[in-house]
Amino acid sequence: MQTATTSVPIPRESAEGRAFTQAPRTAASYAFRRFMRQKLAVAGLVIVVVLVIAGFGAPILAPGHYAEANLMEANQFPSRQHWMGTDTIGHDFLSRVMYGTRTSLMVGFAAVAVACLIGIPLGMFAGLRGGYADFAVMRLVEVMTAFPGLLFAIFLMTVLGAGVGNIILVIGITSWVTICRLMRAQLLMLREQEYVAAARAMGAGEFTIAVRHLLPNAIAPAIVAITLAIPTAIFAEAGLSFLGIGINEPTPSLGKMVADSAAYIRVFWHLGLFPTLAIALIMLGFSFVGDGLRDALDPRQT
Amino acid sequence: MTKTHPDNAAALHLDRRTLLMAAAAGSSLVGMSMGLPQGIAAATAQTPAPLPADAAAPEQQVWRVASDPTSATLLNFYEQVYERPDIADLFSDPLVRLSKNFEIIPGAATEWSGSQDGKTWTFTLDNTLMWSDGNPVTARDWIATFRYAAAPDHAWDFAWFWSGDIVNFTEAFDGSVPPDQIGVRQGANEFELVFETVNPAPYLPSKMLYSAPLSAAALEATGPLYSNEPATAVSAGPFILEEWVRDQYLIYRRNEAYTGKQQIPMQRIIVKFAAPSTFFTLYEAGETDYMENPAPAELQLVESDPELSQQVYQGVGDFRVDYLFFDINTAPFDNLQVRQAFSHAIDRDAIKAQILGNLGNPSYGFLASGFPAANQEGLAGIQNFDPAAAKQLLTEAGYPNGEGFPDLELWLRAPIPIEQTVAGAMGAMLKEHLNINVSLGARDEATFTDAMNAKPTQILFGYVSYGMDYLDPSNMLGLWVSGGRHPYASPEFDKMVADANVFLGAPEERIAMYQEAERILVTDVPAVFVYYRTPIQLIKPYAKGDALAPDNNGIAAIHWPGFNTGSTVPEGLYIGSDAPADRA
Repeated sequence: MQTATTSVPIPRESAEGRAFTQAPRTAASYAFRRFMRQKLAVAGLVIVVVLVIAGFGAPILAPGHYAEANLMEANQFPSRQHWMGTDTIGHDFLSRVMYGTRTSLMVGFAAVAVACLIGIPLGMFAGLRGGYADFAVMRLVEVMTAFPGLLFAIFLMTVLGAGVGNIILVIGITSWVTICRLMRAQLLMLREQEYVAAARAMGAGEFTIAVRHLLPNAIAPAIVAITLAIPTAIFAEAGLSFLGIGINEPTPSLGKMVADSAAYIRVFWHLGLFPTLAIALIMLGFSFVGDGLRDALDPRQT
Repeated sequence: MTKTHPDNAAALHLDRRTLLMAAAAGSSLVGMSMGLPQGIAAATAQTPAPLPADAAAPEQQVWRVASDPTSATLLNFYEQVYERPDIADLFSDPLVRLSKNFEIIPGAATEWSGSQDGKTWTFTLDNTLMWSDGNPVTARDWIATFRYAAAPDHAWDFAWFWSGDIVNFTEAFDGSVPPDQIGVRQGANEFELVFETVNPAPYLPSKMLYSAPLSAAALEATGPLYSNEPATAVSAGPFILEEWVRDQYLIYRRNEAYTGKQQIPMQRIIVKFAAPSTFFTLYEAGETDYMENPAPAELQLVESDPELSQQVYQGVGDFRVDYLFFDINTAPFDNLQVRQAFSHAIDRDAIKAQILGNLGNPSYGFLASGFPAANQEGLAGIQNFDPAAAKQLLTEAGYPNGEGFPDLELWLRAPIPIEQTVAGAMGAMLKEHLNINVSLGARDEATFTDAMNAKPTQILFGYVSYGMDYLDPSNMLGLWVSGGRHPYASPEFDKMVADANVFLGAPEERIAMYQEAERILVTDVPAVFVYYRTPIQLIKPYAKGDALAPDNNGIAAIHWPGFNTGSTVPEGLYIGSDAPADRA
């Protein structure tokens, strides 16, 4: 049997022609366009990028190392030599704020990574398996929810001791619940989809279905949750350090810098102002980005 | 029985017997001159102290201070000395008290005496003292208290204070003999208390500043924490617990059943719990009447304010010295050169100039200027700031430019802002001059103290302070005797201190022995002595009384030990009529 095909030539310069020759838009590109249309989200992204450059680039960009101090230059107000002044020991305060930002970002990213490592597999396991597995995971979630997060973190820090590694671990351990519940809810919905039944019919194992089919479809809301969890983790670090059980001096922590400024702020206002501003900007930047992502990745707007 | 006022000791012919009594600072003469009861007298309940003409009404006689809640878990001295509120020890009188000129004067004991060999000390108790439950205060209370203190099961953190002095106290604390075998017993009657010491202890009466008893009856009926709840509180002191809302406030009210000597104007004491960084704000807002140790920046504010600057008092406090200490039995601090290198890397003058200001002075030894046997100038060349020598010593110790030296955590005990700042500065100096990384690890009082006192110690490198418990070099230097607070153990030092403690010759010879002991200590560098405090107090202008008048040395401040029954401060302080009416 011969099939005749006819084609109608389309002028290359026509609007239809351009549309036809361009690659079709992906969901990501739609999301990107929607994200970029939100001014606050873009502003947040700019803030985050600047903070990431300032923080992680501190070893190159900062005027000095965070531990370098000249006691004879202590308690100086902002000047050309020290843009943010110096602290009570003679550290260049701009350097301390930049390195402190690095610490905060590092803790924020790493703690959320720990939370994801715990929360995503557990949530997927519960959602996919259901039954006793779901029951067990949800009871664990309820137990975790019953503990006030900050108190539990203080308890763990007291047991484990201060330090960047421990604070990352502690914040991660106390913040996986949200991501876990989110992933469980996604999986409960997605596991009934036809493409899952199709994959199963084709002999795919449960692990394959979870990782190759369900995870990519469930990850969008998780990304939003993760983005919003980063400032929460950073704030938790600031809080713990403010209470004196977070990160040891001389490693700079914005929360600890704010706490230490309390006794001096009436005279040396800069000691409280700049780390507070840095914390506020970090919180603001990530919150704007998170909100923007939530709107951009909302499937109802696709 | 010989009784001698301490001020007269140097002027007397010093035979063995006289000197024992003189060094003991016994003062029945003082007692008699004060018209104290010498025989059994009927107990009469406390009558309100007659207030001066410029005093506020009795209901306004309230003393308000702030205290760190993390250091206020119990009121019991015999449970945890280092975890009590800033005002405590109001529930019974110690055997002796301190005047504002640091003279030992009678407290619950009207007189005392020592045996010929200086090893048996007898205290005659004020037989008018009564507990608020109606029981008389007798030798039985002290015996029960000291046995409880020596009992090993509750691991009293101040037990070291009596170890080596009272017979069998160390052994009881170790569990090798029962607590009822310690050398504290009743004398001829229930109002006579006898202490037996291991060695001649001419300083023993001075140490009795820390002898306020628990009620034996309450101890037996309720247990050692009886004074922590108003319902079970019993007091033989001028105040009793009224209310304690943990982490918020603590109120003591006048103990109407008090029959002691002190005539105290204050009707109530309010302790407000708050973070130390807020103490100044509370004081400035009129929420408290007193604060001490303002941060340097706060002091700047005070000194530049015409009103606040009139509220500044400066004293000697308890001759407190801040120091870095090492576990000298553990590498790298088992190496003398390493310790010497650390001592030469600390620029005390810079700390004074940039951080302390009027709050302290550089210290090159453990005895602050003004303390008996202090020798700051003579010791200044041993632990002086010399970065070149520090580097050289560290190189000779095997760590050229700090290479191979482990990173250190400097333990801090619940640091107030100035301690945190000084510690940070010292960490930066060690980095700058020795290329050694030092992080600061703040711990709460109990964790730090337990770790420090543990045998072997659990702190490799720490920063802490110590102030006197009584005005004698045997106290301060006794801290460094083998088995004391730190792991330092020098037979030479121990012998010198022990010999000086029981020395009965000329006082200046005894002083010289302590100075030699201190030289050994400073040379061995179990610690780097950084500065001694010259504490600043802020006191509201409406607080008045003899406690704020200059002492014999012209120093006007609330003198150590502050507002408690071991001091004359409570008697010498009242609220003037110019105080604001609403002082809750």
